[in-house]
Amino acid sequence: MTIAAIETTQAVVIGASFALITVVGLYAGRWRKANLDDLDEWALGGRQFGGVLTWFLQGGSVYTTYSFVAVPALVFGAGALGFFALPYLVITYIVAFLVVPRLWELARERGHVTPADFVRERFGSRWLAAAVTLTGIVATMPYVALQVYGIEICMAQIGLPVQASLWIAFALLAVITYLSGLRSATLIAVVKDVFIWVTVVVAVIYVPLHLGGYGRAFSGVPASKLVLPGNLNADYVTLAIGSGLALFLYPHTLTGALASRSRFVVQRNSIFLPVYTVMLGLLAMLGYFAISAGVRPSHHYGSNAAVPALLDQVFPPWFAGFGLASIAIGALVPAAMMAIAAANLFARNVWLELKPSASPAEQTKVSKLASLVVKFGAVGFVLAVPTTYVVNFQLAAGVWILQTLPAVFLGAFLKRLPARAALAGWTVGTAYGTYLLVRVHFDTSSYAFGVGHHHTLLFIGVPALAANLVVAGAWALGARLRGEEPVQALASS
Amino acid sequence: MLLFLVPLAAVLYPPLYDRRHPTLGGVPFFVWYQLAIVVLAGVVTGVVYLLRGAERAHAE
Repeated sequence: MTIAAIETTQAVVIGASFALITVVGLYAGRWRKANLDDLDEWALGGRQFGGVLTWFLQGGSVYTTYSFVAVPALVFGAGALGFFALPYLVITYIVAFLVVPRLWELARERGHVTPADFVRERFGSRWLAAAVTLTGIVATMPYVALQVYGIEICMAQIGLPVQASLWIAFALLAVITYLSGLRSATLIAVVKDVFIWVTVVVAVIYVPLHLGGYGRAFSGVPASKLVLPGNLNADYVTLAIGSGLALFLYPHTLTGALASRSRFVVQRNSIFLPVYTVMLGLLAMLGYFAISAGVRPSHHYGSNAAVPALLDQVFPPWFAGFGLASIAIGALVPAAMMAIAAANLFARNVWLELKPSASPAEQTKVSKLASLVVKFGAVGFVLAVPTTYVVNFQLAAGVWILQTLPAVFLGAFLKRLPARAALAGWTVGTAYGTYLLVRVHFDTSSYAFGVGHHHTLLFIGVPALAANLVVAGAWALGARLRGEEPVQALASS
Repeated sequence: MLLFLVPLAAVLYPPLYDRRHPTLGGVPFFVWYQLAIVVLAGVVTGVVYLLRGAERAHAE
């Protein structure tokens, strides 16, 4: 660790911020009081949130440490490639507008809590539901770990003892989530947004002034980093498409959508959530500013510490502490939602599957306990494995979750898609994607495809999804030619 | 719904915007163009939502 001294002011500010969210989180349990032994109440906040609260909640599930730390870090390290996050989120909200309201509708009608609930009923297939459950849990875990990692970077920047402060932060989060469920994530998301917006707005105004104006702030960046090298075009686009299609396949983003009062709330949020994307674009610019400011992030965290180090270098300690606190809280909200979503998968699609007699109260109990396991498991994971793996596993998770697209998204629209076709596609897509990830040693999520001397980097998730769709499509066609009728367990409009 | 093709086409072909100039208040074209498309995509979504108003009135 390169930072030895504890920045007292920053430590006090971040401590006070965590105290604030603890109070808010505990209060959340009493807010819109209901029986929190009921899974719909604990895990989905009673499915009653209106536009504004859903906006905060969905913002909390979409914009995570990945946005606040990893994207600016990519801009800092690799340059323009990091801006793929903007087209990625353009695609995300178009998908969300077109697909998610349909899933909301089915979930409301049939009481689904997880994507696997939907798949189980739609296809009547245990195996396909198991595949979606497994992928959901496996893909969410590294995502939680990434949030832990984001908090770790902030704590390290302040000079706090990393292990102790992480355990304390997650013990607080665990107690809050256990008691108040998704309600706490929602209210903390409001606090988080105030923090983050203040930090970002102040930073994008103050930092360039500090560097001598916007022109100067950008002219300090090597020209090669300000534009995309032509050979990365395909990588940029496939990253955007793959990530854009994948985002609402993650169980926690669906949790945010299912908590809303109506499917129109979900649609309206696709109009207004891009406001956050603008903020993300501004944050990504901070990656450039960190280059211009000559920030030297700690060796241990590399470019991932670029923005925390920039805040620390440019701002007075109290505001740097505020900014670091906002990044840390920005990681706690999605971590809570992911833990709830992964826990729901376990309770609904593993526990209930093995023990069909489990009462709703028992499911809630199991889910609450599983959410604790997920959180502490993630902290243990981050402290145990080398940190580069944390980010890499998250990239792999994006490849894997994308393979549930036929089952979850297409299943909602295509009545004739048989379970076996989706399962065959999933198997091939996951195997092929994993094979490519192994070929690049999980170091990156892009693979150089090509013949001879012509190579094009592509985001692995996209060719894997293509293989998945081809197999699923061929299988579905074959089944149709053989005259098999797909199971249509889900009576729907 | 076909309106969605506008923002999609605008961001899915990087050579279209992969340059530094013209800058806007010092911000490279690559950055501000994509930020503008993000806003445009929100507006397009809003338009599609409103155009579907009739269907919605029927459902609610």
